[in-house]
Amino acid sequence: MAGVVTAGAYQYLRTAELTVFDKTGFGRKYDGLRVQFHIEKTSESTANKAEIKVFNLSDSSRFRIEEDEMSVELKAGYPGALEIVASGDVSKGVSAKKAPDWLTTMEIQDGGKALQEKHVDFSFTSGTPYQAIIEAALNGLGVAQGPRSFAVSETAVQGFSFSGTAKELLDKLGRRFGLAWSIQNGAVQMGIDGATLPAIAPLIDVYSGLIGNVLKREKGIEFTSLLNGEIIPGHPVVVESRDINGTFLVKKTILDGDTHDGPWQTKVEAEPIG
Amino acid sequence: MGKSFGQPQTNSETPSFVGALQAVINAQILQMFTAMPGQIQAYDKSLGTVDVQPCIKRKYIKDDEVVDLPIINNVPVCFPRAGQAALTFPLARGDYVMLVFSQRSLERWKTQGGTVEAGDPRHHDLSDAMAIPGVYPGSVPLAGADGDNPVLQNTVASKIIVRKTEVEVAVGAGKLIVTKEGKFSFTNGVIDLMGLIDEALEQCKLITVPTIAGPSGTPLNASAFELIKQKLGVITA
Repeated sequence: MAGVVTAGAYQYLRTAELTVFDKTGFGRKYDGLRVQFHIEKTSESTANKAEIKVFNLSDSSRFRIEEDEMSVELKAGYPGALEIVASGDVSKGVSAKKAPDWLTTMEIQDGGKALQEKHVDFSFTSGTPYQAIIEAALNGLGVAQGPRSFAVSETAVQGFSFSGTAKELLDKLGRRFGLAWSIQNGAVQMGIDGATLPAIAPLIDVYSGLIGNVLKREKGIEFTSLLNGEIIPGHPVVVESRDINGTFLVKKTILDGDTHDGPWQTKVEAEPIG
Repeated sequence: MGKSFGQPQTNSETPSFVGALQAVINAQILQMFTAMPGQIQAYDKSLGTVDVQPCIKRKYIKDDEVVDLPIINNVPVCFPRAGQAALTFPLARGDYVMLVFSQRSLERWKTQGGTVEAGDPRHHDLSDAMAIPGVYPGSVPLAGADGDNPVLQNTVASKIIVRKTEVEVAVGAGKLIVTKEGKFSFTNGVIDLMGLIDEALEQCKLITVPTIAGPSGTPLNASAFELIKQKLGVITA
């Protein structure tokens, strides 16, 4: 069975690295601090959400995080195998003294600003391929382009006009043509609904971090692995377990971690590839 | 606390359920086009379609940006039409139309006609507009309208007024009136045609011609001319 063992090669010594960017794109990296996080990602077009807590940032760093239009990137994993587990715009940043610590809490939405604010006002003439319209909408989001895997042959025989957010247009076109799209780690991805995107499929088995059993659910499977940022909604994952084996489409992941204590894991919901 | 995107515009940190619900409803309403005026950019008379610039701009509250809505291409024009009959207007760039947005996609219907599956789940979409000529802003008032009667006019010089008991066709100073009693009036503003004919008939009754014995008497059929005059009087408005 295909599947690549990556993060699972060194799965000890928890490590996290947080970079905070201001609106000019200037980033400041924080490592060595205690970081807690709860991240929920889905293959749907709503923004993935994360709550990140950082202990004992300096005064200036705390104030900086509370500024407008900040964004963050959180890498977590193991020494030599850090993966991006969350990125996005800070929708809320607040610090509080919880003696003896200063605790800074950030709420993050992956592509949140682009999803809410990027608008497109398009007018396409008769005969424009819908593929081109979809690509224009993807570009209209103004974020990095992730994997794509779709081909739409229809043309807008009567022309096509749209005014609204790029998200609304992509949702509309996705419904019509059976496409699924989302923003993962700051990059927009789109493919056929129910099919995986062209991406490397991480192998999850007992040697690469599988915790407990793979559970069968109504629509697919559910399992937990050691923290693994390479398991991404919309992408394939290869599962090898005692009872269930195969390649699945990742629908949802929940990543929980604390560099100092508690869980350090990724819960995964996945479905058979349609 | 950082005042970043996605923050509620209230004093509380999280929106109320009602507020959140209202925001969702408002977002949906903003995506639902119903009707608005538009201005023609191009008219294809052979296809009966126009390209239209919607007249009402859109304001994006998040970034406070005001933009033109995009031009809508291939919008079918709703001229009164049935069977072999139709009433068309000479549409041109700059003319106003009322855009009405179909509840479901017109993409297939515009091509195939008949009863079709929509083929697209969109609702009240900008692309599914129809154009009805006629709506104009108050800054461009229509001259020659009649408060009581229908008028078909070309504002340059001609109009037809359909009154309860008569129809008037006017072109420049020329005017034709037909009444419900079947009476007519033709005039160029100076000369009335029915009066002119009446005058001619009167002159016919008085015709004399020179003879050897001197001027003749009036025509022997003067009474016939008089009869025609009387008939003319019956149909003269």
